[in-house]
This record gives sequence, structure tokens and C-alpha cells, in this order.
Amino acid sequence: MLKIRRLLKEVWVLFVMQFKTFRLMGPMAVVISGGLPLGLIIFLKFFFKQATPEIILFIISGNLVISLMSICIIMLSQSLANMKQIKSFEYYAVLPINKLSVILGIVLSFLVVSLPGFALLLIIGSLIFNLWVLPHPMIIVVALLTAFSLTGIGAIIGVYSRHFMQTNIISQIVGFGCILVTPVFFKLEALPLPLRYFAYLFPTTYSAEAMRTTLQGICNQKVLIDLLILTLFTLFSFYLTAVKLKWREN
Amino acid sequence: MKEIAISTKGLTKVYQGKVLANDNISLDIYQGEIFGLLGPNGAGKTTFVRQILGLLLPTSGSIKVQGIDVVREPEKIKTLINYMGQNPYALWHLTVEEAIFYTAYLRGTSKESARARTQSLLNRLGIKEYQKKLLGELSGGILKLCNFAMAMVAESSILVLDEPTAGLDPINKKVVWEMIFNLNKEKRVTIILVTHDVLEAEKVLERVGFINHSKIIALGTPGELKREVDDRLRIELVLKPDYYLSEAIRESLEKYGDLVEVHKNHLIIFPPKKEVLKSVEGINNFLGFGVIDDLRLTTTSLEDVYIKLGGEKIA
Repeated sequence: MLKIRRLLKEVWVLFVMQFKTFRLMGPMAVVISGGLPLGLIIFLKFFFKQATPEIILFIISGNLVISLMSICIIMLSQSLANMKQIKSFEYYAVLPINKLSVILGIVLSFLVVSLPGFALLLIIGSLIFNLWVLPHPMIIVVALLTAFSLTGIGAIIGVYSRHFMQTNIISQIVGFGCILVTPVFFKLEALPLPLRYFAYLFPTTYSAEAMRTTLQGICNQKVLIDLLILTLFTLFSFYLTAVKLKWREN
Repeated sequence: MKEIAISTKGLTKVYQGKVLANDNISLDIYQGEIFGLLGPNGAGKTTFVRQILGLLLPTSGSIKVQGIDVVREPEKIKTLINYMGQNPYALWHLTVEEAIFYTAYLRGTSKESARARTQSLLNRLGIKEYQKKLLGELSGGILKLCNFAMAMVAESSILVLDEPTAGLDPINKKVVWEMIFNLNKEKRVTIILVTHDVLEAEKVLERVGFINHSKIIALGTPGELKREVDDRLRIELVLKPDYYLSEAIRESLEKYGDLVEVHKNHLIIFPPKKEVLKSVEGINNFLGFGVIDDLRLTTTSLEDVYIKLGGEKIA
């Protein structure tokens, strides 16, 4: 119990420290966080002028998943790689804190800064496609578990890449690879059969499904099963980060 | 028998199978001592320190910090060691006060204690007026003081300081050295100093390890090392800038001992051991105070040791 309390305290302090980074960026942080998904939505509007509500739902939920993936794989790995490059990583590496705390602190700070972006995405996406959504509160849990389940991947890429350029390339390939092979913008049935089984190995499969359902204001048994599986992915992600990730250079 | 705080045996680090950074280093650092790690740039000091901190895996050899095997269990020593690295870029976006406070808090200090210690350090280091400024906005010297404060704010049994006074003015250097000295005397904290500021560090160092070309080439107290290099007393003589030191005057001064001209009008004379005071009096009478700008009787300094062991000639 004491360990969990200590971990939570570390996460909070590191979150606050990381969050203060954005004081240097000001409102630009919100613009950047909402920029990509908003841009994608506007772009897709031109391709889906007569989109059905189902397609619109896939677009909005898919963009939310992409945003979360961007934060937890691309931005997290790049943040860690940058810290290594400018040798600021060792500040954290010598402190008697859990590695997981640092990773979660970074991810949570990105998530909080992205909140306005997510809200904008929902509002503008609904406006553009003329489909108003009232998400179920469980969407917050879906978003958090999606983020946490992907942090392990981002952390490994960031810590073990040799340099920033390598991190940049690998994180983009892995991040968008996750999106492409999983039913984020389309139904699972649209994938060839072998790939369908492959898709079950990725947390984005479950998060996209849960995101679509909770966006409609629904939280059913399927959502709860998806959340349970995301929880397992999250625990594995935390295990990778806290136990297996080595910050000591070889 | 002195208790050992840090012990390395056969510590070797080779980067990418090619670059030998530390070669079979075995040394003990005792509990409560101020240990200086000296050496020219690229000698292997930072590699050595990073291995002790658990930031870098040795190629071979062992490291024990207060009995803990750092190679096998690097996480366990983090509560024992406070570290001041060469840059605080991690906290660029925080204010001075925040950086020091959060560092203390993350090191396990309570909130109230962290606040109190932060304010105390800001006052002692004379940087209170900068407390609300972002680290990224500070000058090099103030940033260094802030970095030093972050290393000093929490309690630990070992403190590793990498260039704590680089870029500081003489007044702030004095403050930092005094704080290091007092911390060691009051709390018996073991301190490892990596520094090029040997003239200042000499005042606090109890033992020195000199690294060059990846090996420890000298180890001992400053006195021992100085005696190994040159145990002679010397008269350091600085003449007024407009005084013309003729060949005749130079020859006359050589009567008092071996003469070495360091710079224009800056001489070092090595008198015979038993005639030191006689030589000082003789030089003074010969030249007169009107010509002498500065006269000191000194021994070899740690800087001379550094230069000699680093491979350059003194004069």
C-alpha cells in the first residue's frame, strides 16, 4: 500500500513538473495537440461528403485513437529520446523514483494538454458531419486505458533508440502501423482473416471498438470486456516500463 | 580501520568494443572523506562517475557503494547518492524555486522540509532574487548555483559533484567550497569532486585520484602527490611590469637557487632546502620592494601536479 501511495505521489509530482513545460508553449500546445486530428477530419470531409452516421462515428473515434496513439507512442518516445540527447535524462535516472512514474508523468501531462484538442475534435467533428454525439462518461476510462496500454511501446522506443532521428522514424512506423493493421477506421470484418487474428494482439483494436460505442453514449458488456482486455494490456505495459526497461546505458 | 563508502575493483569500460574509457580501475573511497577526481579532458572521469551512479554498465569489474553491488542492483544506491551533473537541462522550464523544491520532494524529503531547505539554500547561495525565474533564463553562473542547490537540498550519505564551480566568480566559488567543506565536517557526507578548479579544490580535498588515458596514475593525499612531483619549496617572484629584467639581474638571482622564468617578469626560484629564508631575504635586499610586485614562498601546488601528470610541462 505504501509503495502504491509513493508511486502515486511521484506520478503527481512528475506530472506537475512536466505540465509546466507547456508554460513555454502557451496556447500553441493546444493548437498542436488538436491540429493533426482536426486536419484529418476536415480532409476526410471532402472524401466523405455523403457519409452515413456510422462512417462519421468511425472517423471521429478513429481520430481520437490516433491522437492517443500519437501521444503515447510518438510524443512519449520523442520526449524520452530528446531527454537522452540533451543529457537531461540522467536527472531522472539518478533519482530514487520509479521509472513508471516518469513515463506516466510525461504521458499525463500530454493528455491534459490535449483535452481541449479532444473536445474540439468532438465538437468540430460533429459540426462538420452534422452528427451530435454525447459520449458516455466511460469514454474517459477508455481513453486512459488506451493511453496507458501504449505507453510501454513508446517508452521502449524512446529509451532504446540510439538517436533522435531513429526514434522519430521507428515511433512513426510503429504508431501508424498499429493504426493500419487494426480496425480503427474500419470494421474488423474488412480485414483479411489472418490479419483479423493479428489485430487482436493490439490494444488499439479494443480501444477503437470501445471508443465507438461509448461515443454513442452506450456502455454495454462488450465495452466492459474491451476495458478488461485494455487493463491487461495496461498491466503488461506497466510491467515492461517499471521492471524490464533499463535506463542504464550499456 | 576506515569504513569504505565506495569500492571499485578492476573497473573497465570499453565503448562499442573500441574505445577504452576506464582501464582496470581499483580504488576505495572512504566514508566521510572528500575525494577529488582529477584528470584532463577525455581522461575517463565522467565515465567512472557514471558507472558508480549506476547510469552506465561496466564492461568488467565491480563497484560497491556501501556494500551494495551497483552492477547487479543499480536502483538500490539511488537513495544513497545525490548527484550534481554538468547540466540541469531537464528542468529548463521550471523556476529556480520549483527546481530545487521538486528535487528535494522527489528525493523523499517532506513537503514542508523541502520548502524550508529550498529557501535556506536560496539565501545561503545568494540567489533568492532569482527564485521565480525560469532556469532557461538564467546566466551560466546562477544556473550552476541552482544546479548545486539541487544536489545539496536533500540528505544523502554520498554526494557526487561534477564541476561544481565551473563558471562561478571567486565569491561564489568560495561560498560553494565552504558549503562543501561544512557539509562534510558536520554530517560526514562522503563527497566525490570532479573538478578542474584544483587551486580552489586543494583547500577541501583530503585525497585525490588522478585519471589519465583511462587509468588511475596517481592516488594519495594532495601532500603526497605534491611531494612525488616536486617536494621543493619555491620562491614565486613577480616583478613590476615596467621593470626591465636584464641578463645581469637574472644571473644574480640565480645565486639564490634554480631559476625558471614562467612569464615576463614572473619567476620561480628553487632555493636550497636549508637556505630558503636566507634566499628570500637576499632577493628582497637585492631587488628592493620598489621592484617587487608580489613575492610568495610556496610548495608545489595541486595545479602543478595536475599539469605534470596531465602531460604538460610546468615551465
